[in-house]
Amino acid sequence: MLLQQLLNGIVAGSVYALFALGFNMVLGALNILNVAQGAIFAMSAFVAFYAMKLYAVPFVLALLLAVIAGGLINMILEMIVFRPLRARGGSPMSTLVASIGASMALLSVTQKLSGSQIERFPFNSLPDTQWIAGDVRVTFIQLLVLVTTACVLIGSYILLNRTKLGKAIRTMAFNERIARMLGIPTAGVARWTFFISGALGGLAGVLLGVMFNSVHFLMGEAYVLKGFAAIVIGGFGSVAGVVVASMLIGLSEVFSIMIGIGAFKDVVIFGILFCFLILRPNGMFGRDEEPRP
Amino acid sequence: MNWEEISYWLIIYNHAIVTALINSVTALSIYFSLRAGIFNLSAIGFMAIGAYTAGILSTRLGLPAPVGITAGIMLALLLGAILVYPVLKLRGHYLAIATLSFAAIVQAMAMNLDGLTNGPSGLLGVPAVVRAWHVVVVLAVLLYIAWTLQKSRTGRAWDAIRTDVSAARAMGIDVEIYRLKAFLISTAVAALAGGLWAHVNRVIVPFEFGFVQLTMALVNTLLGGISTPLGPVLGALVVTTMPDWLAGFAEYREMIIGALLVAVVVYLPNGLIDPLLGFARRFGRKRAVKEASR
Repeated sequence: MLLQQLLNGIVAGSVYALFALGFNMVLGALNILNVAQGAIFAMSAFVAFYAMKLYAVPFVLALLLAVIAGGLINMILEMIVFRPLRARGGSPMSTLVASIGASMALLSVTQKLSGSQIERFPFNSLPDTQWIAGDVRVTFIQLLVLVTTACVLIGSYILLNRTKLGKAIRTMAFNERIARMLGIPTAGVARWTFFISGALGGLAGVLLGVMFNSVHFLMGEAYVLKGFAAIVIGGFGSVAGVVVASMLIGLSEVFSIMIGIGAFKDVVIFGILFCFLILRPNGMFGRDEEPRP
Repeated sequence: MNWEEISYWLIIYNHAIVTALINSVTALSIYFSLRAGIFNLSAIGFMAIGAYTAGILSTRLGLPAPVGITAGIMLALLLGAILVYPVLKLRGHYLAIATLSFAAIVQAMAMNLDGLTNGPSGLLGVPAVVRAWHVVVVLAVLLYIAWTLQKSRTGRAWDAIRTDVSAARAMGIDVEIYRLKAFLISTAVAALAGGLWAHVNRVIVPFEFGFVQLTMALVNTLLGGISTPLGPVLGALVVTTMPDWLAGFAEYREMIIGALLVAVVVYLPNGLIDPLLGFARRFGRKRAVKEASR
């Protein structure tokens, strides 16, 4: 029972981690808190859903389509909202507010296109095999989520530390002006950062959609707040921190339900978040430096 | 339009008008924080505290509305005074997330403390004693206070802090005190808005104090602009009454508001009030020039 809950918590945490990593990348590199990530989450889940329902596309292809769609939507958002704002020297507050506006518009578009329906993925779109070891049961979808998260983690580690783009992103995270002086094409790097972030959001959206077998235009909104929590608890910009924090959030949810205070699970999470903000505003793995203004 | 038609129209749109006025009060609450450069998102939480205190005191104990509303403001100020110390140590995104998480905690409590708040089904039967003109008076008083503060030493200190904290500190402004002041004023105004709302709406449900409502309050404030206290009020009145004069586009409301918000933030960082005021000023100057040349 305990092991099973532990597994469920880690799977829930993995989805949070996928979602929060996308958030974190844009925040770390560009100091933009992109609330519209929740809308992108839902939009890409719908892309996968409609591809599978209307064109009978196999799941893997639908997932790929959704990931690309999420990335492209985020990239377009960067071009029409954040780039002009950055060019005018927008403050962190104005970028956050602009992303709230973009999020409202995108959510409303999604609502219109989906007719406010709660949709289900077609039956048998994924094998429903499950493996039982002792009293722990692992379903195919849970395994899929875990493996995907592990791959994404390794992938983003390699991307950030081994590739030219990753190095450029980290330089921008350090200081944008210095990055420009070093000849890094900052506009292009910003565009790709947004693409990757949107793609991660899309991946999380589809996985969540198949996990709970429901796709709805507001499905991402609860994740936005928990994504904030994961970023702060983990420490802005730290990949390892965000993953550990996401697991912590997933586990605290599952265990609050187990000990019978499930109704207060959000209070527990935001309570933890609040304590972290007060005691360690740079997060678990954050460097001890002055927080950015 | 004769007087009879006007009064008829006022009766029909009474609820929309009162809602718009209360949204203006909420927007002013956010204005006070933003004015001092504090990106404080806790307003909706304090509004919930004000609404629930007023509602519980009047339904359970039968206390008159002014007592309940005042008690709500006091409770909010007490909690705000505790919250303010850790929160004001934070900056930028951190502060926004901390205050947002406070609001989320308040909402979750309202949802789950069934004995006190009656849970998700909401607190019913709050006497609807607040009339539109009450809110108009409250709004006028608040606008007067905001106006006076804006032109006072405090207002100038807030402007300095918002523009550049380090420079403000270097000029000898006690940044902490002025930020504290702004935060507490904002808290009290939010609780006031909540208390008024409880006595207008009759029902208080936790869903009314969530992220969506917070977003709308922010939209109201920033669409109007914070360069003058009139901005948030203008924004709230325009956005809240929008469905009525956008009859054909009501279903595209969120889309329009979202796009408008992005456009305003990018191209009119001082809000809609700014070009309006600029126009009025230019008009005034032209007339002055004309009169002088006469």
